[in-house]
Amino acid sequence: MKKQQFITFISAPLIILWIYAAGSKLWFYESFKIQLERQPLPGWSIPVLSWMLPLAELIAVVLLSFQKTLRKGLLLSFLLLFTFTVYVGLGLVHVFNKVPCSCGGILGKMGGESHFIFNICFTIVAFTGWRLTKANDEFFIKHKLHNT
Amino acid sequence: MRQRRLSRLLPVFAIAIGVALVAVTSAFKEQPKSRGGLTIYTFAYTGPDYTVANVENAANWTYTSMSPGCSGNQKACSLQATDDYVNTSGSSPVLKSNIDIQAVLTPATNTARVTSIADDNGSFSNQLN
Repeated sequence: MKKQQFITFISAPLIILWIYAAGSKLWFYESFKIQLERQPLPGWSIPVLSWMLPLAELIAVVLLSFQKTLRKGLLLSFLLLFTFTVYVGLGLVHVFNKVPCSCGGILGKMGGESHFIFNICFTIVAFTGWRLTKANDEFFIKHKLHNT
Repeated sequence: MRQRRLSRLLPVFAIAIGVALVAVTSAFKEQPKSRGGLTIYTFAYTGPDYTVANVENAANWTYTSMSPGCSGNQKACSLQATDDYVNTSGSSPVLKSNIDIQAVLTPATNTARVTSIADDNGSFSNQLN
C-alpha cells in the first residue's frame, strides 16, 4: 500500500470518531451540558466548552475530508486526543477529587481505563498520520526538485 | 486517478458511517428497564444551589439520557425513577412530586445530599463538592 493511500485510510477512522463524538454531544446537548458541569473544570469554562468541543470536532472532520487540509486535520485530531487522554489519565491517577466521566454515546459506557486505552490508540493513529504527511511532503518536494 | 477517487470517496463513506452510528446508538436507544420490567429514567440535579429545599424540589431535577457520572457523597447529583414517579406525556420526562426526595445538609461543605426517595425501584447518587 502506498504511503499516500495509507494516510487516507488513517483519516477514515478519525472522521468516524469525530462525527460520532460531535453527533452524540449535539443530539443530547442538554445531557452533555449536565455532564460537563459535573467535570472538575472551572465554572467559567463550561459554557465555552459546551459549544467549543463539538465545534472543534466538526472542524477536524472538515479538515480530514480534504487532501489539502488533511495534515491540519491530523494535527488537530492529535492535539484534541492528546488533551482528552491526559485529562482521562489525570482522573485515573486521582489528581482530581472528582473522577471525570467518559462522555458521549458508546464511550459513556466504557470504564475509565478502557477509555484511556481507546484514546491512546487513536492518539497514536493521529500522530502517525501527521508524521507521515510531513514525510510525504518532503518526499514530494524532493521528487519535484529531482525532476526539474 | 485511483488514488484521487479513493481520497474523495473515503471521507464521504466515513462521514456516512459516523452519522449512521450516531443515529443507531442515539435515536433507537431504548430506555433501560428495572427487574420488574418498569422503565428507568435518569434525572440530574440542575437546581440553582445546593440548599435542602432546592434539592428536595422535584422541579430542580432534569431528565438526562446520559449517565451524569456521579461519585462521592457531599451534594446531590442524580437519581433514577420508574414509571409511577415520572410524567412522560411531554416532550421530555419530568419527575413527579410524589418522588418525595429527602435531603440533609453536609456540614463540611454546606451542601445538601439526597438520603432517600419514595420510589423503591429507583436509586440516587450524590457527588463530591
